[in-house]
Amino acid sequence: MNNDGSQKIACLLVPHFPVRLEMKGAPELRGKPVILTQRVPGGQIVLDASEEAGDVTCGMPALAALSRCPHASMVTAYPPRYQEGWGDILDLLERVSPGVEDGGLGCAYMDIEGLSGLHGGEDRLASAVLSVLPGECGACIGMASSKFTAHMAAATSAPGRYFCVPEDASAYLASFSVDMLPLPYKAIASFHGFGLHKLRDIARLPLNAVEAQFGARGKLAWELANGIDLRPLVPRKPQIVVKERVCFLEPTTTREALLVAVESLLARAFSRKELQGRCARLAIIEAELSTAAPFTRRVTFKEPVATGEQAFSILKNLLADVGLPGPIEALSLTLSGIGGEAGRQISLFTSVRRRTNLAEAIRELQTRFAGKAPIYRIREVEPWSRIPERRRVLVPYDP
Amino acid sequence: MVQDTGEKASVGPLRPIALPKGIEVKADGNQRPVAVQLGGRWLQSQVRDCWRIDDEWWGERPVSRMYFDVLLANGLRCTLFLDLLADQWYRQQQA
Repeated sequence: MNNDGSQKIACLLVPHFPVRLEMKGAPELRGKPVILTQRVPGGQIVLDASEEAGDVTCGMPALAALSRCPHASMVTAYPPRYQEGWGDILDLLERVSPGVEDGGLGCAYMDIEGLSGLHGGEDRLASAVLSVLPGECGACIGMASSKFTAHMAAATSAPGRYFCVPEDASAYLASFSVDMLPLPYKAIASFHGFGLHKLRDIARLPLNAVEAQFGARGKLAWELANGIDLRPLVPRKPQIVVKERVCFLEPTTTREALLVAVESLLARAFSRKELQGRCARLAIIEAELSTAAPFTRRVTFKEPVATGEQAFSILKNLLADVGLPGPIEALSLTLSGIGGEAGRQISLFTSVRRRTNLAEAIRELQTRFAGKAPIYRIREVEPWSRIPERRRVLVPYDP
Repeated sequence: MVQDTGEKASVGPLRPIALPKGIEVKADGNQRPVAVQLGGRWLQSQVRDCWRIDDEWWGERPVSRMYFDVLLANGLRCTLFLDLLADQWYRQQQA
């Protein structure tokens, strides 16, 4: 961003990125209406839909989507695969611009301030961006002085082409539908309910009226409709991720085999040079099943772990009561949140250290026994009672 | 007004301690223990002290007990009581 607050941002859109990724693995779905659904609290919603699915939109309840497109193929989404694929795309974009922000699956923002001059014009800059991307990705590029306007420009650009927005962003944005706003499905539905179908309908209303009716989301919608977008581009930070994978000779359903595989993966991961002298805070275990959707378990360590043994002692307890939904064909382990070892402030006093260690042990027991650790404290309730069993009781110890 | 959460009231997770356990005792004519069965064996007992408590006589479950502090043949010291209402012997656990 320049000293005067102006910036030049490019938005890269890959329409229907999750569906494209699914079609890459299942070519028979090409040209057909496909709806990807994912489970959220409250039911199934649409994650993405192919163009052939018509007016099915992201966030729509699955049943509503099916009623609009009864002949669509419903596919269960597997977001970790899409995130990994999109991460590869972002890595490629960083070859062109050092400031790349992840705007969600299929959307990326790039800081292109000064890059036009470096590449010899906007045409060559857009070509440089498109050249690093894999073929058939159908990327569209928009360039503007703010993220939302660049996004709208990319949405109207043709695949493999770019569009640069003129100075008057509000006039350019006026004819867009409110469906393009970066707001939840219910918020957009409420705009339609009030007869506000285009951005110009929101822009011409007083701000206080919009904010009074729709709250903070209304304020954001009004600002964006008027070409005001003060959100800065936040480049993603480079992250070290260590991933290991193992394939079983025969699909297995036993927990013992799962634990042996996890232990082996941890040993391999911690022997890699990326983890030498470092600790990991997050482990993601992904099991590819032969008869069901992949099974994922995400574990955040309370304290960073530096060795495979330390990590395995924690994961073993957490996986002890996990139910396997089907035979496992392959298992992968991803360690992230890698950094230097965190310092731990230990008390000088023995009694305090003892209490801290006891509290830590109890917390682990509570995790193990789902909140019902068999540790109790003796408390006096009627010490004056002549009946001995009335004098004291056991109270669960809660650190 | 505080809204009713709809949750059931309960005494909470408090657990009693030192609950008395039933025990087999042979007593003499004066209702004093002469032998106690522990671990499947009968052990002779010598009474060191005795006292009586009568409590909660106003309630639904009054308490009337005759306590004996006994020394067993194996050197163990324990507290027994005879529930005078139920005519049952118990060993009083220590907290």
